[in-house]
Amino acid sequence: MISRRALAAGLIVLVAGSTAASGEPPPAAFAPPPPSPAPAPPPDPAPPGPPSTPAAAPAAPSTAPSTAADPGQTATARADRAAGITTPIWREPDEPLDLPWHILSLPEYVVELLFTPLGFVVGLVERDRVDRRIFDFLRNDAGTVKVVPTFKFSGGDGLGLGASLELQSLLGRGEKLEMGGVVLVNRDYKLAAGYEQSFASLDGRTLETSLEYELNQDLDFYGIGNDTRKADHRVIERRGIDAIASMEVFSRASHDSYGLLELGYQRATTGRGSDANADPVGEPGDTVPPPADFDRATSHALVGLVMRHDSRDTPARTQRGVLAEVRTRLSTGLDKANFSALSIGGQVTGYVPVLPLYRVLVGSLAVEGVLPPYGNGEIPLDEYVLLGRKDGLRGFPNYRFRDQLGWWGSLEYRYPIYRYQDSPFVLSPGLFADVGRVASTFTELWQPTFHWDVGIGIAGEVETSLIIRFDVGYSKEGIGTTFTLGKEL
Amino acid sequence: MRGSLLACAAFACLVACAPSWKQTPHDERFQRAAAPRLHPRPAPESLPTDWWDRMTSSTVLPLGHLVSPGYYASGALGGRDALDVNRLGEVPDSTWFENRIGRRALTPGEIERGPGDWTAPAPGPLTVISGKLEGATPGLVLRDSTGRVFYAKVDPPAFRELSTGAEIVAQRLLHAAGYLVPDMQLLDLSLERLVLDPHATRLNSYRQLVPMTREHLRELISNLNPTSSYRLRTLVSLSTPGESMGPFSYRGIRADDPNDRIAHERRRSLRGLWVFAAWLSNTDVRRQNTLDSFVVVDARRHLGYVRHNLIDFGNSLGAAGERDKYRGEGYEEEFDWPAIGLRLLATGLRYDDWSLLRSSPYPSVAIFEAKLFEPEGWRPNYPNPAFDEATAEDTFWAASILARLDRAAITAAVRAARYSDPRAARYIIDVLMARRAKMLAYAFTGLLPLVDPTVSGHRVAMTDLAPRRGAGYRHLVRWDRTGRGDQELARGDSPTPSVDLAPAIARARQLDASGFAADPFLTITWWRPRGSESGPRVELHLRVQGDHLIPVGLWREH
Repeated sequence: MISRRALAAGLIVLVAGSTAASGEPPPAAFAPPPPSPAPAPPPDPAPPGPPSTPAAAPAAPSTAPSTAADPGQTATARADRAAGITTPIWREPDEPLDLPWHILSLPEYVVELLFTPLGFVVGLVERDRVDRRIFDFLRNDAGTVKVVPTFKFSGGDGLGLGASLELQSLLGRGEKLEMGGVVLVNRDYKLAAGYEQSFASLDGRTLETSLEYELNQDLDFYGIGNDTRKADHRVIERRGIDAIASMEVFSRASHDSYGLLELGYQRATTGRGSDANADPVGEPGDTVPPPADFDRATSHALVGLVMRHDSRDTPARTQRGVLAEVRTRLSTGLDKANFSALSIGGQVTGYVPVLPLYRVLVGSLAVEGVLPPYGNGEIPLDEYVLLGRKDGLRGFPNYRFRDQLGWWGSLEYRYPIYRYQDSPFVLSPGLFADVGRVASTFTELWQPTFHWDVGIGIAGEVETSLIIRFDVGYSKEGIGTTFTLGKEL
Repeated sequence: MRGSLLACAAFACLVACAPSWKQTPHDERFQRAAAPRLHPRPAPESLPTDWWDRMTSSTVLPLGHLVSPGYYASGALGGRDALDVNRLGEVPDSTWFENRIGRRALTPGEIERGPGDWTAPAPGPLTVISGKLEGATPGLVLRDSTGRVFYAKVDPPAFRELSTGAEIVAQRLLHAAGYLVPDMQLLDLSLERLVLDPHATRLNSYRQLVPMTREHLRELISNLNPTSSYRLRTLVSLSTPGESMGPFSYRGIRADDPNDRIAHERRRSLRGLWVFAAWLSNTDVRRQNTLDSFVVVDARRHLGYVRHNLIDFGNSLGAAGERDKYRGEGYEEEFDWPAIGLRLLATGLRYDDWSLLRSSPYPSVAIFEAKLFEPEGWRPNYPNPAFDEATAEDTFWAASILARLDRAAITAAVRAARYSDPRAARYIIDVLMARRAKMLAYAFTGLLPLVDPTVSGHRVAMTDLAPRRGAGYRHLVRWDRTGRGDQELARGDSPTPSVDLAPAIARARQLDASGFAADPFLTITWWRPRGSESGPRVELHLRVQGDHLIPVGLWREH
């Protein structure tokens, strides 16, 4: 029988060559012992040495060889030491070269080398707390004035950078003013301003106003209908101004159910889009008909009511409860063109703990319809029911399906896989399946042909808010990825 | 002439073929390293390393291992041998480690007292010369009226005695094991003794040294939750001998220290530290909790050597520095990618046992248990390169020291922590004993834990550290002849690992007196029969020197 140790020693000699193995061969083999390194010369007896504590042993601070009697040492042992047969001084070996081992470890060295510059940067940041300086630079001590950097990444549009200035309670009345913008690599941009104010005299209700101006040169458009093809991908340029004011109609502080009354103005101009990967809408002979309000400017007045019921235990990392929402919105054209829309929709999401330790099943169902409110008018592009990556079908491209009616549903199983120490931050994957379709008539809406996808997402969240979420969905049209940052679920 | 040359060549060949343990001078037991070379003080690190150390150990190194054939080869071959070991498998005394309880039994009093001759801060005012205000449990640097400097730490306000107690227990036991640790004691500090030095400083949030004001001190004290008599249980420690030089790494060497020639991950003393860290549940065993100090020997030329200390054991037992341990600490690393990946694949259908752990009934203990603890599954918060390289021999070495830390020793260490609730102290002792039993069972599995060869006349005996010894021992004595094949001299059974070699020596001399005189080495092989199998063996090599025996080498099969 050959021991594992002997095998290992042998393999080391064979493979690593220079790796030293200190164990001797097992007795059963009686093999000749391996060659030993030449004995190292005895060390120089230098006077100083590491200190010894009283409990450790001899109080003598020197580690130099000595023939002086150690307590308890016998005369024969002293004689052996004096005769050079034994030594109390350990002969430190030279570290073996281990060349084969180093060669086998080259990939590890390369990885470390690649990260070395990062180590230098991290060291600098840590030394001067650059992170904290930047954080403090972007806000005042009271936290009432903040500059919030904005980063956006889109597969189609590329990287976007921007910033917003947030002013909170400058007048001491809980008001919040925010203004900022973001510019993308493809020169799309968005400017936005918002104001928020709570009124004690109105039972603490909040008034929110927002004003946005956006240029999107490559708004995805696949035509209208449930059977549009992925190859029908076109792009539209859209410039739009949106001004919205909303007021709570119930106090959020005291009820699970609350509502928002919205009033607004919207002006949009559409035209031929530009994108390296898709043709613009409206090319001569194109089989994809452009939307009715294509290549013109339209203005709308908006009025809407959103009613919500929220019985979730927490806004994120939810274990149980229901979030239900009903939306109605009337968009009335203000110019001569007859573009108006009345949209009605609802969505309900239920959370059920199926197993302990935050293992939760999440089911959602949404239905929405839009129709021309004044007889035979046309529906503006922005008012159509949408299905796509950000709208119910995570395995499809964005804005993939548009029509007057639509529904979608999803089932998701969430479970935690990581919690950082005892902080509230948790990573939770979710396995999901989405289904849905759009239609132009109610009869068509309930036909058993629908789009579906399956996928997995991973969310980093605390109990009060989602911090980051990444979804990968697979559908017959390929793989869709969605990245969400800091959005409440 | 030609014949002489051939004879010389043959002799040289024989010498070269001889095992290293036959070479003189033979290693004595409990050797010490040669006196270190004196050198000027090495420069301290220019950049802090804490963040990068965490990132490297948690992510970069595991990523490197993932793509490195060397990592897999090393694992398959049982790892690379430690280098700071003599031929008897011992770690010699050095600037890294000093054999203490491994060398001789320590009295409970010695363990309770800890390192050094502790002298409490002199009566009178304690001057605050520096402070750390961040975090839940701030720290202070104090100077007493005699000019001695102490570092003071306190417990998290919600967990009295938790951190200070854990730190004392771990420090006492690690010191007894042989590690170099700072001297520390508990003090019932009256906060009225604290006075602020006019030149006191603190680090601000940008790591800048700024003056420490009375407001800062007042704010700090108000956060400490003192007793109604304005007193506070405080852990005060002396600085380690020498000038502080920052932490040492558990990997590589310090290039500007001429005495630092063995890669730290190949030091058995550091590899074996995992046994004690796991036992004590000291989860924060990173470079940040080490300290190199420069001990000046030649003051005129400012020459000295570097001493390597372990510091800060506040993450031991149920404590985690400024807080109690969270569930999972000690069972998973902070960024345990394999565990996260497994949970992802398991889709939540399997959960870890530790996720249901409950805290002990004592706030001074928090989560510290032995039921779920499994040595092979224990994990520090961040991977430690030396721990990762530990071989079975390294683990055995450390466990052989741990085995000597018996209930009396542990009780002494816990007594030093002065827990106010005796039930909490008893709980800690019981858990430490249970964890120790599991650790020893793990470390001794698959090998024969015979240690401490002792020679009395021609009788050689060893001590068996196995908790359950079962059947007796078998031995085989052979004349270990270099280049000529070994000669069996005796074999037999005995209830203890002890054998009288007088007959074997006589027989060897009878067989070939001159040959034995030239090659006077005997090897005793011990094993414990396990049914029909022989079981793992231990070989003790001895030199017959005149009429006495010298142990010169030890080999352990595993």
